[in-house]
Amino acid sequence: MRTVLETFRLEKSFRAAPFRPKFAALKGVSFRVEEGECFGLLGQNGAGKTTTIKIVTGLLHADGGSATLLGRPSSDCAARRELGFLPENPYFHEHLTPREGLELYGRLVGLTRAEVRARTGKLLERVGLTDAADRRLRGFSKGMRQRFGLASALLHEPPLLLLDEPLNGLDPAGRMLVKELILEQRRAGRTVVLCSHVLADVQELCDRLVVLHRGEVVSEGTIHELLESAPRSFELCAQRVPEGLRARIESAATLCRTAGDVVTARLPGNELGPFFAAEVNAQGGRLLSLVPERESLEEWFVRLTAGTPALEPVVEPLPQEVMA
Amino acid sequence: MRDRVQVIARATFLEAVRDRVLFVVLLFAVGVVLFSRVLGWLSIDDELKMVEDFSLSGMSILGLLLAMLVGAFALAKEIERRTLYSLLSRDLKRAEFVVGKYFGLVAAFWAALFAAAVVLALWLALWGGRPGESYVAAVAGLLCESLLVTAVALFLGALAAPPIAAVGTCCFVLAAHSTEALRELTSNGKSPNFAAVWRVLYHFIPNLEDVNFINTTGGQVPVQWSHLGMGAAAMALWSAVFVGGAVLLFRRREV
Repeated sequence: MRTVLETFRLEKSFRAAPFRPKFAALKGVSFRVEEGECFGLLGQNGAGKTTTIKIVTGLLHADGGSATLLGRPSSDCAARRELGFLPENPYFHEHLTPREGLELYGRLVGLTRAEVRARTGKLLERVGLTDAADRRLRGFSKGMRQRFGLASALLHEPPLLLLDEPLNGLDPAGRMLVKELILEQRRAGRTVVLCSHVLADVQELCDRLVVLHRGEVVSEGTIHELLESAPRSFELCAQRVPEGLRARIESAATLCRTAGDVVTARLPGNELGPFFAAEVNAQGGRLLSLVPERESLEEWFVRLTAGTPALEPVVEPLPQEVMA
Repeated sequence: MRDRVQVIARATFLEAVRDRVLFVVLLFAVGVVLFSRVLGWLSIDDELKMVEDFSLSGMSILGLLLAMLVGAFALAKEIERRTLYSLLSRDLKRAEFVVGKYFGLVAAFWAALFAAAVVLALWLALWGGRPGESYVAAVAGLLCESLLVTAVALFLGALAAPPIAAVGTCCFVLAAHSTEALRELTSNGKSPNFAAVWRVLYHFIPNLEDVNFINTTGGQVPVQWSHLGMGAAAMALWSAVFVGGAVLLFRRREV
């Protein structure tokens, strides 16, 4: 698999004001994005996401390290021809109409006027801006700008899409449209780098992610890998549970409710659930479900970036009275 | 490269044309042209010469003001409005952006000056005047002047904050119209140290009077086309120097 975007020990410092000491926005950020994946770049405000993106897109110069786009240094303009970029809260030349704007951006990536015109109608229709195609961007709402920005990023069908908060300011229909577009790009084999605060979106769209915190990579991997930990608890649902066993389940559960002959219990830790499930089966009851409850991406992210300890699963030996 | 410069120049031209500032200045210039007739009636000398000179001077001042303000704010506006993100993240070199921006601004100013010059020519013709070659030379001089002033404004805009750049451009225009005075200071100055300073300034400040042909209107003074040609070449050369400077400054600028 080909690496389409790679940063290697990126460093960047800024001075807030003249004669003030510099603060490091990036402290050796390294990650790699492979072809065809949807990659999430996560981090709190000030974590260094936008700085990283600005270096990758040639808007900022790195103090140290390097960034490459499809094997070429990101400072090389020709490399950016293969990149579709949607900045956060995108701003465009407001005196232009979407049609003129697409022509401007299309010509800058080497498309001919005829090629741009051939693609414009279809693309504006796809992002729902056909009716506004000849209105100036000045009067556009935030959501309309976002959709126009996405159209301009997709215009030259780049193999790599870099989307900084693409779902910002969109209404539910707009969000759905953008998600569909991202998934379409993935299906077409394009690589998508998604930078977002909305963790549910990242969890829904991305295969792999990297988390930046105070200018450093604090975690990297597939969502499955990152969230793969022992379950915090199990939710057990069983029918026709013998009375003695039901009492033991009730005493071990943090939450237990009975409806008719169906018992639903939340059993803490990673052993009680499977243990009682086996007991229910052994004593003639009927196990309806046993669902592990794991940490959500949001809980994981907050824990990771806030430095709080994980909600550790209970792994101590089961109490004697439960085992009896 | 030429294509991308053209694309940026076209977008800049469109922006300037669609911006109300250009129209306001153009309307003001037309107002000056029309008002000049009143001054012509009050004049005890050649009425139409008065109309022509006053109008051309008014156009010159308005053109310079426009070049100063729009040129000085051009790059900063793109950075502040973040419109630059959508441009530089594509296959566009910063040098191409600056050069395209410059050509777009110059094209817009030239279009405005040309429109005002046509209005003035019609106005003069209405009152029986015949704008001749001296008129053409004066307008061509104004176009050359705007070429350089825009380049200086763009350069200073890349170097400093826009208000400082606008004031700096204003100082430059005043100095560049006064280089003859500097030469006199060089030869008549009492202090040899100051004479050296004046001499350096004289050689390093472009002389905008080289393309000032407003005084030749009316046909009393024959137009020296070679003089205008040399002046235009000097303006083009100086403009290239300042635009090159702006490119160098903007190349390392963080946006």
